[in-house]
Amino acid sequence: MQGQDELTPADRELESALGGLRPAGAGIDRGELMFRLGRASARRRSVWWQGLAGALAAALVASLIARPAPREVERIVHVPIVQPAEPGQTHSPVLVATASAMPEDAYLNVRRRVLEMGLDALPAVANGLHEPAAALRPAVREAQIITWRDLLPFGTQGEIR
Amino acid sequence: MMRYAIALLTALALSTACMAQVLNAVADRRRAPEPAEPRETRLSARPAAEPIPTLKYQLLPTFLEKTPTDAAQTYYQVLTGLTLDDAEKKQIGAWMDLPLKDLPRKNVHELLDKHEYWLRQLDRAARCERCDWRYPLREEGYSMLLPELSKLRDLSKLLFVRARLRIAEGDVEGAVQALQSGLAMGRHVAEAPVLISALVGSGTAGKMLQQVEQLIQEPNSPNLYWALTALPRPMVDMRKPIEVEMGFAEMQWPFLAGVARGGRIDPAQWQKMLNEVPGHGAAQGAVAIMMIRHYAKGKQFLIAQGRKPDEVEKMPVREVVSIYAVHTYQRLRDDLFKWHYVPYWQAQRGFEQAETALRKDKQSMEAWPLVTLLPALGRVRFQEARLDRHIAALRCIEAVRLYAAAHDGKPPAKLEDIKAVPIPVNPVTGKPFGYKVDGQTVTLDAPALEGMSPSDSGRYILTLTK
Repeated sequence: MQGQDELTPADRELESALGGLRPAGAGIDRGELMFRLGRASARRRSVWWQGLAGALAAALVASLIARPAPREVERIVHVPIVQPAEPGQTHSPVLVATASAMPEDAYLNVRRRVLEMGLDALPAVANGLHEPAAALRPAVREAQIITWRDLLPFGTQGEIR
Repeated sequence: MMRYAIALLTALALSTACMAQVLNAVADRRRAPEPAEPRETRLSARPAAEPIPTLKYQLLPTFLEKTPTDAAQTYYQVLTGLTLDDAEKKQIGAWMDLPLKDLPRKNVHELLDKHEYWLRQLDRAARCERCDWRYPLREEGYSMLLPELSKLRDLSKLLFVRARLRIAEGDVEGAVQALQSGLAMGRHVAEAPVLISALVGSGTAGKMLQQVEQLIQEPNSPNLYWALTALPRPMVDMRKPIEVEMGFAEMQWPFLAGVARGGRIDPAQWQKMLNEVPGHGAAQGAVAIMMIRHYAKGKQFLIAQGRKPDEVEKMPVREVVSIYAVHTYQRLRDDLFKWHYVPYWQAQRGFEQAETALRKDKQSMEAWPLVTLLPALGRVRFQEARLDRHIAALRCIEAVRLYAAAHDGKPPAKLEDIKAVPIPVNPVTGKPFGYKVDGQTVTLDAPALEGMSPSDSGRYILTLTK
């Protein structure tokens, strides 16, 4: 009692204020808390995804803008044309194989390649003239040097050196 | 979540594709050749007066040095006897591009010594009056094989390296002799009546002229103005091969000449020809396209030519169209070849127009398949003019050295100031060469014609030294 008597007016005012306080009810719902925590976490993750997607989209737009004009490249493509039958013929169009196709090194083929690509397109000859070509010039061949290879039996002279 | 993942993956894929495209394009541009510029040749040479006697040096064998024999036989012997292995070919290729001072003379000597016998035979062949390669042109036509051309190029490279070695060693007489052999061989190769031979011959002569440029720069180099002036013009005459090309189709399929004279076409002959045209033998669907497209036009053409309408109506469709194709081919061909008979600067536009017409016909197929056999003649003719321009430009350079020798080493302010010798015009344009002086440096511009690639132009920069 003696203690109560020793209270100052200020203490009594505090006592009175504290006495007026009422205990509050439970303010935090656990379920809601967990939901909010989850949502906040998901938001943080989606910001990362969105940022990356946005950056890539920006890169896409930038690369589309910066894309150089396409370069025209001419390519020669040889496409065989299928021949339909001549009027009066009843069979369907067929490819007719050529029995007399020119060799790759024939003049006409070589000329086309040289005019397109320059002299480096000339067919390479390993060494010496190969036999068929040399045979084309009989008058000159007669005057050529005969080497021991020419004296070998038929079939063993791959080329004249 | 799934939405974000899809968006992310899509953006990732698109971005990667676009970035790859950008990077490829950038890489392509890096790989692509630089924008074409005139070919620039830098020379550094001393003033030099005419040699005495003036024609002391000749770049082709003289009449007295030549023998009245056929060179082809000797060339064939060399082609058969001289064998360059791959390592030697590679080495020769490398020596061709090395600066003269870096040429490994000992190694070059060793290689030349190894083939000395055959090089001597080449010199002998180059001094023959004529060269008949005896190509089986009439017998084989378009099927003819020319394996020697590739090897002749190898031989010309060997001669090229020999000329370089002699220049590097200051052996002017020997260098001139080596250049004579190379230039004469170029002309001999071009005597074969086919375009490829003419182009190989032209290429060989062009390479030798590059060595004339080297020789001019040597301290003891004589003035080669008259030696260059004595060279034939054109240096490599394309007339014969071009005229052979003009008649090649008729030579291969003689019935075509008869059609031009109003004859008819045997379907079997036409079919045989179709089978023989490379790349078109199996393309017989084109015949149907021709018949559909050109039958009406073909009939009109034949009637306008004077054939009776009844006769034309009774002709098989294929024959009408093929006769029309032969006539169209002959018209297009003559429109192309006629331009060979005028100077290049007058012909270039005509060649372009004629070649455009040929390209159009390859689409419309009026002259199919014969039109596919015609060569791109404009570029061939340019090769001829370009080689002559090379010679003319070197004549100008030598004229400047000649002028400087008489004027205290100073170049003329303009080409017209040179009175001692005639100054040639640019054979490509028919106009004078461009000329500029800056102190002791002279720039000679050898342009091509308007609309041609800058790389078809040339520029020579000569610095006169003491």
